Amino acid sequence: MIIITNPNTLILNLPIIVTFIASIRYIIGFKTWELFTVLSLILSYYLLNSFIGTLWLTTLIWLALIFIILSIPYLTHQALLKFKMHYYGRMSLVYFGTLIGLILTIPFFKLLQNESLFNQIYHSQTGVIALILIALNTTALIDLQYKKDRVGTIRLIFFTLIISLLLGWLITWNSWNSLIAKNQEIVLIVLLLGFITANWTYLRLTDFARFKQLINKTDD
Amino acid sequence: MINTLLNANQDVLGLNWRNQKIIRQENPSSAKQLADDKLRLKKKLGKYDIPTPTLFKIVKRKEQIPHIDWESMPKSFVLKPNKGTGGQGIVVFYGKKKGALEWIRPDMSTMTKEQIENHISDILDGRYSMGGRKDTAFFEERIINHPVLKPYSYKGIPDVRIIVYNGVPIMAELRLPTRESRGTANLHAGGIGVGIDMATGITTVAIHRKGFDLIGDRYDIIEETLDEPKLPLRGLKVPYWNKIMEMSIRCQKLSGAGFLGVDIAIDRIQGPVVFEINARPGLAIQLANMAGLRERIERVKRLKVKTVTRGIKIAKTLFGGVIEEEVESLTGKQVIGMVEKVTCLPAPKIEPEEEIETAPAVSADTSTEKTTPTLKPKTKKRHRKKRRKGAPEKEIIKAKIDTGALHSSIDRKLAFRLGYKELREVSELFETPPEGLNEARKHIIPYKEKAEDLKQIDNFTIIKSGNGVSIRPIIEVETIISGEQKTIRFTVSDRSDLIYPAIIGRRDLKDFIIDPSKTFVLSSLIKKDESKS
Repeated sequence: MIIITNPNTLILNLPIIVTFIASIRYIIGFKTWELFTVLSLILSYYLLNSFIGTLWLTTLIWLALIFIILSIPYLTHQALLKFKMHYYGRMSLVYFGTLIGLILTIPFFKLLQNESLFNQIYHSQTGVIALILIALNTTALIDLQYKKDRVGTIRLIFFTLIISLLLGWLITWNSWNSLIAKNQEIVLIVLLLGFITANWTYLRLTDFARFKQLINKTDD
Repeated sequence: MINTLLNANQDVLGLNWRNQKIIRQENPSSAKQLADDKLRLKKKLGKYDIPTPTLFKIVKRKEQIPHIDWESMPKSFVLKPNKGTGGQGIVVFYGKKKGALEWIRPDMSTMTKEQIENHISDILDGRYSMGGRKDTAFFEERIINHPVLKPYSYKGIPDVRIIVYNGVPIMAELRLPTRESRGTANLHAGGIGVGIDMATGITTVAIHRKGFDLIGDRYDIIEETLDEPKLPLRGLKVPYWNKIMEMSIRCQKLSGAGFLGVDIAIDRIQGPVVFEINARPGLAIQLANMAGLRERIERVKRLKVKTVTRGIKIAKTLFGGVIEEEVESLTGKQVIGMVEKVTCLPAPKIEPEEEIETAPAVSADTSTEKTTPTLKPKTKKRHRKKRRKGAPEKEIIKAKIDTGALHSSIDRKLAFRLGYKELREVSELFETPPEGLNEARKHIIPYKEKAEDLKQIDNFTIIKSGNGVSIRPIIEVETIISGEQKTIRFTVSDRSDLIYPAIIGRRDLKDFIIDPSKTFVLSSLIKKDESKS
């Protein structure tokens, strides 16, 4: 069933990926960072893939860019924790760290010895937006430091990267995109999954692991 | 496997059910706002005479910071963000450096006036508030650890988290700060959670967060405190337990939340004080109690709990007894209170009566009547009537557990109702008691001889009591005490003027452990509540 002719599959994929993120959270129990963070990381993967083309190389470069761009502001923030200063003042300094992170991506591409890729990304609006989308997560990363402890932070970052990567693969997978372009009713099926997820009140799969001792005791 | 999953869903409260069915439906936004606003809560609790730590100073705007009179600040105090979460932004000061505007923290580090001012500024900027919104900072009194709990906590204040639902405290845990949690009682930060038996306020199972785990926070069951001195965590009696339960119910009522977590600390001088209330309490408390919250919620959901005292009684009856179960499993003996519910079964029939003989005939009739169904109801009705009129029924009574008495004793009217009709033949014993021990010794001989002919009366005995000497018949009654079926040899006397129709003496208490603090509430009262609603 075709509702829109020649649709941009990115638009069709948008509700699908959000439904998947919700299902993973409420049915399986793996939490991600804020929704914006996941969506921005998926989109940055999508944009980078449009330049790189191969799955494994896109994944490698995407992960490396996230590490370079976000680790510098994180370290800046950690260094500034020793000094008592105003919150927003500190955040402005942290964003200088983000700028350094973005600049450090240049030697990374030099290291890859792929001049054309460097030119494509740095001399096109799309490429720069991909980098900025990653850099915009600085605030979320710093806020995470205040909201969660170290274990919670690592857990959230891990699942955010894994889920973003899986969904990034999905929306750049040609067979999937042609499938949803030709069978647009898939969106309706996903809508149904969305309704189920929105009203899901059973235990999450991770709850079974969390309350294992209690469940075993009750079962006895 | 499927059964396990379904059962788990009915017992354990998961995050989805908590958020969708409990918090969203039972906690109105006004209650959530009150729980998130510590200053408003403090004011409201004060109105209802519920103690909270004394408020020293409020800082709402940055312009107020230079005007704080630091000289007048006490040696120890706590600085808090009004809308902070998870203990973030809270700074505790234990003392003040002599001759300097510098305060000492629990880890012996100090903070100067300027550093504290910077911290206040951060709070006002919203660094610790939910969603980074602008906040208010305030100073309040530092709670001093209760001596009972002090050895169990590492440089911090332990608190009791009680979950209250529908006016009934349904679950509680004692949260202990550790070195790992840096003095906060938060389980997520590495504090210890210890389940509490609702009936007695005695700690049961203790849990502590496992190390790094990708799936989520998982907990190990521990037996001792993590820091020195290593102390056993089971069996600690939480001071002011009844008062804590009472305060938690009152907090729930005034907050307007249907499901609430109340955090209560115990001050050395003031006793229990409410730290804060939580409209979205965590669920790890279930592991500390090894019991599911959902099952407990279902049990109290339809009750109409009108008073605080009633809420406490229901909590103790429905959710207490964890300690007793542990003692019972260790000793093999049942734990009973000073007053117990005793079920007395009717006396065995002396001779097989006609009814019994006809009973198979009736059943045979019914089987043959399958072809003639019109006769069936009549026969059944007659049969029921016969049973009600003739056969004695079991009696459920309140009996006093009397360790001062050797023999158990039962009221003669009760014994008669149970079907001990032979007592009629010795009724003169209750009306004209012997005048002294010697007379009783003489009189008892013919009765002892008579006992050989009687089937329901086992023997006769002389009892000396405050009312004088009496000769009493002894009967054997089948009873059920605390779920244990037991044959008790009762002496029969006239107890019509006494409160309890029976007492259980030492001879029959060998299989039990007596807990004087165990309260007696007839479960029929709760059932009545359920049926009304």
